[in-house]
Amino acid sequence: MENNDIVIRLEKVSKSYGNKQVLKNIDLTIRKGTIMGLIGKNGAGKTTMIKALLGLLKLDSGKATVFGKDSWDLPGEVKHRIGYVPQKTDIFSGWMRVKDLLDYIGAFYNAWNKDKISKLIKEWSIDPDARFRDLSEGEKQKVAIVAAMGHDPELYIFDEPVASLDPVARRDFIKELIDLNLDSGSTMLFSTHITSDLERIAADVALLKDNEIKYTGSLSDLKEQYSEKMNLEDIFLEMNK
Amino acid sequence: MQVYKQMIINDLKKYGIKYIFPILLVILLSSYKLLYKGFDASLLKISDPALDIPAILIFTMVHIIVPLGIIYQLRSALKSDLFVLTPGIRTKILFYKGSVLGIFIIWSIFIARITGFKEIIFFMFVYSWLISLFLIIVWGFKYIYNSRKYMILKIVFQFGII
Repeated sequence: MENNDIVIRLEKVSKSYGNKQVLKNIDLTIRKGTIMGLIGKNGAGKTTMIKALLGLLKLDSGKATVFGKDSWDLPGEVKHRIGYVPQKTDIFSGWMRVKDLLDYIGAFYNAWNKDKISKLIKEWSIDPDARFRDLSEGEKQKVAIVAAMGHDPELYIFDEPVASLDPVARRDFIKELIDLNLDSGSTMLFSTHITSDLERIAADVALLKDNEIKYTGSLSDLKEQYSEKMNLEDIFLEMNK
Repeated sequence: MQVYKQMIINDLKKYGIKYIFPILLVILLSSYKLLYKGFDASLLKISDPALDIPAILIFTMVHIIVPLGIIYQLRSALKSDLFVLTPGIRTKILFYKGSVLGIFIIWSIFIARITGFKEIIFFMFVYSWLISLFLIIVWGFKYIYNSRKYMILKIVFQFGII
């Protein structure tokens, strides 16, 4: 495969918080058009890994690149190509109304798709006039997802995006991701605890355990290594024994 | 322009009422200088201690409130991971807040009657250094930009101004 197909590359990435090592010599390559699920127990380092690859944390060692550019100093043109949904949604200004918040974020993007935003807000039953702080956790998460999709990025990075969503919203969200991937070939990295969601959406998985990636590859290959009858949750539990 | 329009609207909605106090002080000081001391006189020159000393104290207070307020707003606008990943947001917010601060500095130069190129440069430098100090107080030692391209400014203005 060509090197310019590589969207995300982590090489020997290590990160510690004080004496606690969270990531140890992580190597990961994600190619264009891939939907990769990132799974691991609480505290396995999923969020740290996502932040490291986005340049939101300084690495202790190793190298992280997105679209070939060093994550620690991502240029604006690369940021235009990324849609990021953080785990915590309290990063938005709570006093702002949803429509104002989305307008504000949209003003920074050249290709802000207002029609798509309106469609998603309607479909996901978000009140555009509500203040962000007054929304439930699930609604806040929906707004964060809509905000990440507004500029039609080539790369989506979701850090536990469905944790607060109800089953209907989760289904709609996953359908939206599948459509996006099919329509535009977007690349997606998706961290979650809900393994059944990963099975529905992800072709590839990366399993984080003991600060290292224990498996990276296709979901079908992973299943072949175990029993075809086992689902991802069973495999996940087995690998974490 | 859309971005700056949105920033002004957001600012007014979020801080509108809080702007009244410093604006009132600025109007009060400007009126005192223009109507009482005269256009050519410096507000900082003491001719009538009973009035000039309180005016100087208010002038000093405004110079603490306004930069600290701007830096506080910067901090809340820039601290989130999401905004770090929003393209151009830091440059635009810094430009916008810098422009507000610039207008304030021009007003200070006018009201303190600082004339002469060297004096103005000296005042700007000292003032930038003071703002950098405020930034450390409010922000800590965190850089707004990861990039090293502004390292000289980071060193000159101590830590973290950009």
